[in-house]
Amino acid sequence: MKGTIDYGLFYKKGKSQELVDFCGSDYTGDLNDRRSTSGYVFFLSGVAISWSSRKQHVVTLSATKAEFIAAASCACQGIWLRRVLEEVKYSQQGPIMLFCDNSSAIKLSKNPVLHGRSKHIDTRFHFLPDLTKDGTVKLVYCKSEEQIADILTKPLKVETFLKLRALLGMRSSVN
Amino acid sequence: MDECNSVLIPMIPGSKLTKDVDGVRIGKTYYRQMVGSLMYLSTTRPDMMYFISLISRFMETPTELHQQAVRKIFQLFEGYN
Repeated sequence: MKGTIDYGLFYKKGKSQELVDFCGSDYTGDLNDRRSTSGYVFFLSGVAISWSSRKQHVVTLSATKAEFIAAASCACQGIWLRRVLEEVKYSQQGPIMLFCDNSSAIKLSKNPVLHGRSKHIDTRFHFLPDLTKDGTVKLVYCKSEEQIADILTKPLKVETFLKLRALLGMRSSVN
Repeated sequence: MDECNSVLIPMIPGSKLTKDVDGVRIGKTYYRQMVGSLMYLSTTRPDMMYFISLISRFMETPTELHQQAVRKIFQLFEGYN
């Protein structure tokens, strides 16, 4: 087994596909200040085109909220990407599909009820329910095992890491 | 680094990297150069994005622990068995 210096993203010419998006978070990933890590990755024709992994700038009180913030930042990027694609005559139909593995974050985006656990969420993150309401963004549930954004938020097991790396569209340029 | 063993993943699953306040300090410039070169690579390597963003949090006071973490990433790119 050798190193992976020859690995990279491989973009194939082929039928056009929709812009798909995965977003995820790792709750309290940092032991020093207990902030979570959020990550997202956008796919076009099955290969990653835009990704981010960063520590959130606020401390969250629940995994749902961490996920909610990740989804909100990811929706912003999605809207921008759509505009760019429109510019190059590749406009997308329908809402931006945003795959998320936390079902309560999805519910919260559809129906932003204020109860004990969620009433502290800042208005700025209520941007997401607005977008869901007018149909720009659609949050879809996906199983944790299929959550590709996990590779951007936490250290994974070898098998999972290799699987998700392949799903990102990465392969060796040698063979 | 040319003759290091290769690794499949640069970090043990579930492990966390902390500030390591009592650790042995290493040269800041050297550490930052290593992080910088990895950041450059991250434009084509989304799989390394998390690890690079993680190690770049310790650029202010890097210790030997952090250097080891960076070495593991280099080992993933290079190395042979």
